[in-house]
Amino acid sequence: MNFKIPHLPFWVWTLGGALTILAFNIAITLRAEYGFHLEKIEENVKEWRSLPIQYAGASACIDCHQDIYTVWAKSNHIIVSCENCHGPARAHLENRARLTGNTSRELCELCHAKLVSRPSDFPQVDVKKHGGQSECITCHNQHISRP
Amino acid sequence: MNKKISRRDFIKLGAIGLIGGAIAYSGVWALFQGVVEAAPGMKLGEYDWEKHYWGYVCDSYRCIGCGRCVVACKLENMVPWEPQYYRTWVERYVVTEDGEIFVDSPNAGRDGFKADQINLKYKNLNIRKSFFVPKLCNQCDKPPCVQVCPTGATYMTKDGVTLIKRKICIGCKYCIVACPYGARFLDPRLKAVDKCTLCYHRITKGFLPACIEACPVGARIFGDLRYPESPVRKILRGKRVSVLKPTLGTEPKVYYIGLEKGVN
Repeated sequence: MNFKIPHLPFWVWTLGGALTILAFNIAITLRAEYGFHLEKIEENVKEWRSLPIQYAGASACIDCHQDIYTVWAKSNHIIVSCENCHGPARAHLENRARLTGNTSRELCELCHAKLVSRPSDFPQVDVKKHGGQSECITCHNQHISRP
Repeated sequence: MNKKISRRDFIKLGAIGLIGGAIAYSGVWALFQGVVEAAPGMKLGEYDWEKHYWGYVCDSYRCIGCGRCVVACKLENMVPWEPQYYRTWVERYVVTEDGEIFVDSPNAGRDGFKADQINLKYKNLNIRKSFFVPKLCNQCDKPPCVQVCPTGATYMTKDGVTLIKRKICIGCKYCIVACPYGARFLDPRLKAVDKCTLCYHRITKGFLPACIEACPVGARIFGDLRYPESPVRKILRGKRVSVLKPTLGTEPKVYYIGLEKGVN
């Protein structure tokens, strides 16, 4: 392949090179960090802000479910938000969909199975030797959390 | 290309080019500084992103590995339910008496850490200690993911949260490679990259992120780094904190209590 470098004065090459490097640096630096496309960032932030919220938090439940809320709030399980066992509240708040609580043995085991990695002061039990295969709520009330 | 140039002239030319280039560059840079400041304020209703700077703390002493945070995040943020896609996850570390370290994160902690696994897997080990470490996008102040994005799709907001323009993301996965914490993943349905946004849609309305709401033991703490009495600022004052991979210069805003030597 016969490739000839064009015959230009030396200063053209130097200036051309310097300008190329300058342009390249500007292109890299002036992306998102420096506000290039800033108006698109605003648009995008608005999009992220307006996503629908699924979890309401336990304080949203007290308005209608006062009796069970006050029982739960006095128990050790006050640290477990309602939606941890009943699922996100959005469907219920929108069209009163039923939020059945998960009463399976597996759910209780997620926190209370004895693992060496858990802090020793956390209530845990050897699930193979305790309670057979029956649901934990047979003996332990999940909202009162006493045996 | 046979024109001869004297050494003196060559050096003169080089010096002029260098100084000229530096002046031109700073000039243009300074010009664009003005553009950023003059941009219309991002009030967006009552929320002013100039008034907040969000921080996070993970307390490894408290985490029990229940995985409720992982599930809450998936349901709140429409993350695919399959285990390989996660915005946040929990790792279990097992340190033996010999100092050997084992790490696992079954299904990213989504289904908890079942008793059988630890009994079978670590049965013959002489365990010195074992603990859980919750992890998420560290919302770095100097994010490598933002730096490498070829399209400028990922950016950091003024309140310190790194977000992604899903329509601009081309799914090249350079940011996934660049993130030292493994916080990003490619969402197969969106064909764009996704990551923890600190539940931006919640925190800008005064709610807490879903993982914070879900955690029963207070292993995850959220707060405003601008507000001196926020939970995160109190922990930064009162407890011994550290960050993951501090030597990489990413300046993460997720602080950890109770990290151990082998935790990365």
